[in-house]
Amino acid sequence: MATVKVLVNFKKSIIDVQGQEVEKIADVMGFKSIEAIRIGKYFEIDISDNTENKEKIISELSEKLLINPNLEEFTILEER
Amino acid sequence: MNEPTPIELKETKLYKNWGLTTEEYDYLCADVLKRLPNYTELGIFSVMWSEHCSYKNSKNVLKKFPSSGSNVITGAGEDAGAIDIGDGMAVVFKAESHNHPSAVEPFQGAATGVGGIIRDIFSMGAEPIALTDSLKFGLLEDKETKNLVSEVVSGIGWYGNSIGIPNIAGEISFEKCYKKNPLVNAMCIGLIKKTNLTTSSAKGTGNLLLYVGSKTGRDGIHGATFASDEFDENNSTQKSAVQVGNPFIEKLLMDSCLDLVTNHPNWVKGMQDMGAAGLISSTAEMVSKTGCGITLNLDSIPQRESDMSAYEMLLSESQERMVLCIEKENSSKIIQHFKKSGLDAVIIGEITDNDTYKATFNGETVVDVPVSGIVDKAPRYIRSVVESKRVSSQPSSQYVPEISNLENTLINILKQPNISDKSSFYKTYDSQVKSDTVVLPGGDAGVVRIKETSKAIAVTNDSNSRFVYLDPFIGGQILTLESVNNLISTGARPVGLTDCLNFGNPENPEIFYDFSKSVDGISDICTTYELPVVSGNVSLFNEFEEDAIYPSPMIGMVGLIEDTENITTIDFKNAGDLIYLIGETKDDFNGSEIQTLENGKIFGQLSNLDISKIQENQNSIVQLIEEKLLISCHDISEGGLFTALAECSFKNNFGIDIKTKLNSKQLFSETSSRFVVTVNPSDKLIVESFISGTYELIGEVTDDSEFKIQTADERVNLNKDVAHRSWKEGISCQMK
Amino acid sequence: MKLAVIVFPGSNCDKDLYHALKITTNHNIEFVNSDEPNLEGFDGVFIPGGFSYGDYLRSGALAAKTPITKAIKRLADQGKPVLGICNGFQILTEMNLLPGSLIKNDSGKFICDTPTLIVKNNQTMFSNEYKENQEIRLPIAHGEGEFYCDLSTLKNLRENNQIILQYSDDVNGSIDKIAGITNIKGNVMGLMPHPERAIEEILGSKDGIKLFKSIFKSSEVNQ
Repeated sequence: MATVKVLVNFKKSIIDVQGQEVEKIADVMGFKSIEAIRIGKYFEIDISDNTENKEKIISELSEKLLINPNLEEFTILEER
Repeated sequence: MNEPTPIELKETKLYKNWGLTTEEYDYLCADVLKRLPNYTELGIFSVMWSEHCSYKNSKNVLKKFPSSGSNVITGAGEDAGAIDIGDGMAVVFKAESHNHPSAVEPFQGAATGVGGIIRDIFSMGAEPIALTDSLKFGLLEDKETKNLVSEVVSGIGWYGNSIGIPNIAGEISFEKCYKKNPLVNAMCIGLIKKTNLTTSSAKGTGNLLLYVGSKTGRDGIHGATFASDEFDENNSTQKSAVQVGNPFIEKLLMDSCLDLVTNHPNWVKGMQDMGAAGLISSTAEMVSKTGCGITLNLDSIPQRESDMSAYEMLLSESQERMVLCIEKENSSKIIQHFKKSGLDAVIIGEITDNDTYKATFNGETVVDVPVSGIVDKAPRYIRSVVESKRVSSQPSSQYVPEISNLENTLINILKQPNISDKSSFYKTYDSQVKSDTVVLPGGDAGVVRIKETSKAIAVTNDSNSRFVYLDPFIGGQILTLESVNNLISTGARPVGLTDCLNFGNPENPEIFYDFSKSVDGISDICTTYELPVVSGNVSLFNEFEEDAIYPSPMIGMVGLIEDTENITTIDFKNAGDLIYLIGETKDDFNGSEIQTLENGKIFGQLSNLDISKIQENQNSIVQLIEEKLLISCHDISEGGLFTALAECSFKNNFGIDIKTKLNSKQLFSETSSRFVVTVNPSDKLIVESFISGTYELIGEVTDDSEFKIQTADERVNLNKDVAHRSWKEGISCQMK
Repeated sequence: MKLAVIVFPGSNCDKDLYHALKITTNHNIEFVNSDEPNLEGFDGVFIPGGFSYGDYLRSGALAAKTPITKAIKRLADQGKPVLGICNGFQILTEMNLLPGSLIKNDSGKFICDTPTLIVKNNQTMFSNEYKENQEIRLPIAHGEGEFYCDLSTLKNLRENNQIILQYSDDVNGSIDKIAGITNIKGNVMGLMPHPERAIEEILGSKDGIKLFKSIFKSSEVNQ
């Protein structure tokens, strides 16, 4: 079994309303050097070792299930 | 990005992609501008001349609605209509569709629909007090539709719950024709001291335009034209038109705007929200009403993304933004007021005294066009009308239900998705925030009281499109009557209405016939009852690959309850109370739930309505409620008498013992404007003396575990719990 | 007595709570904004429901870092009553004034309903007007109301009689059907149901009145 990590983030053109508010409170708390915070989702996906085209399958899963293609994009981080 | 030159735009006909026809483009060049438009200007005209912004196809029909009345303060033309309810107060309301955005991105599409309609209300200076919605989807047969339903409902709930406005009424129905074209219509109702009503116009040379709210990004560009186009399979480019809502910012924006209007009513000369077609639409409309002009400095627009073009800034549909018209001398105080809540507030332009819309960007003039060209000179079309074969070819005879096993049919009707319990949806909406909701969702109309008065406001949304499909005129009448009935059975007097008119492609003469005829039907009832249509919205092109929806006008009607003691609910309250059926039951089965159940489709002509008899029934109800003689009252609609009786019984878990002169089939008749009421047995004689039309004492409320029903032809005893479960699980089973 | 109703950006039951307090007591009531660092002179704090900061990150998490929270902690340390309703409960757990956390309802959905609750402990300053094991009906309206804590915390809550309200049926997956708890000292209470929505017959229930009456009765005894 291998574990693949996938990060899902809003597309740059989509406003991250949550991240924006978290950043504001960080500023209130005194974290003055913080310029922006973006919030995403993190997935750990176990996939059987003898799978061919692991990356392709994970991409497909991400496109079809994990992300909302209208709003989000994904990055496959690494395979362990 | 290098923008195409005016000549290139003309040669490549790019305007066609933006929804303008060649004729419209030629008219723009020859008659309105007397030159070729540049890229930004062409973008402006293509959205402002879309159906969504200009009503170019529908305006001639909409004129038919009665819009005046002694109680009307503002009618069509403002962000929302306002009606005088006495004591110096006005109720402000409007409904709006967000069909296409919800089809593409259901959660955000529905959420931003709610956000938009809330802004329409507080931009009048009114405090939003309630939300309602009318939703239509395809049958719950496939994963896609179930997902769509659940996302739309979540989106509506998320926005309304977060901002803290109770969702008090609505409807949700399922029909094959809405599979690819779901309808998401949302309504908001607000309350205001009459003297604080704020106009959406801007005037006064030298007055300033203040931008307040979220920063501008590239979201939703060309959303308005996108709302006016038919869908096709290659709608991936349309997906870029999705806006994302932020109810938290809207809450801050709402509170700050209301605070300003309430405490400094003279500071705000005009206020409008940025909705469809964003900044260009709101600012152009503000001055078109007054004959003034605008100079806009686009460099000052708060931007969320870098390198935005003039075109993008003018057309962006970023949410939670408002434009205010203010006087120079107050500007710093007003800016300070908004900054206190952490909102961007920036002067972006100035009112001028000529008919010119001018915008500068990076020191250059990027737009210089007549305001009247953008708004008043938009093309108008008088569409041809041809009676649709669908209507003329309906069989004239009434359908006769074939009921072989009454018990089964009774149970099956309760399981029908359009009949069964919708609480699994509406219980995800906060219906009680603000602590004013007296009648919760699930009744005939939602009711919120007005604190510190004896008054309350009742609201209902109605849109039985089956009847409109069979006969647009009579269908329009029936659904308007349905709204009236829902309000009066709650103890309210109807005071006015708004609408969402959802139809297919208006260039199809048969569809335009439906549109025009149903408006006639609605207007007919409005005229009879002296009900003004004070606001509304048109959504055309609801087609997917030329498969049109049923003609689907939706009515949002508002009623005033003078005395909260008169509020009446549908629920049976005591065993032993007598049950009356008010109104004559005819064999009206065409377009009914029983016809759908037995045939999987609807067909047949509708009978003409006898309005004077209907009014007789309604007057009886009004009088009985005023005399405080009704323990419960429910208007009979989809499913007919039996369905109504069951709905009255379920909440407090009563049985019924019914003996009626009607035959078994008539338990399912959907003759319009009938009521089920219960009364205390000791009031029997006095109640009967108040009823002027047809009525029948059909039985009583019981503590039994059964629905005992004896008709002219047979007798059944239905286990109450089985009936309740069938009704309760009709939808939840299908959603799994 | 002077009472503070705290208003965070995004609070939306602040006016309801103010209205409920007006009906149930003659004490002075003031709205206090969350950027206020000071609550001197106040004798009780009421944290309303809503979606403070849009409930972004975690419900209550951002509100729990605003200046007012330090002042609320000081008041709580002095033994003065602090009541958090719905989002107010979530904020109190994020401030660590109350144990446990409120997580997404097990149905995954927002619930608006009026369930039956049981008063498990009527010996507190928030519940002394109720009878022990009295059944009451209060509205709920939350998406993240499932009370969660580890087993040792639960054991402590039980042993110290900190569980004040339980749902009669499981409505949101809360451990032990917990709807409302206090701190060990008993002067800080958080609950998911909305007593402020149940103070007038016309709105369907008056069962919330006694919760407010309890607070004022206790404090009168203390004075």
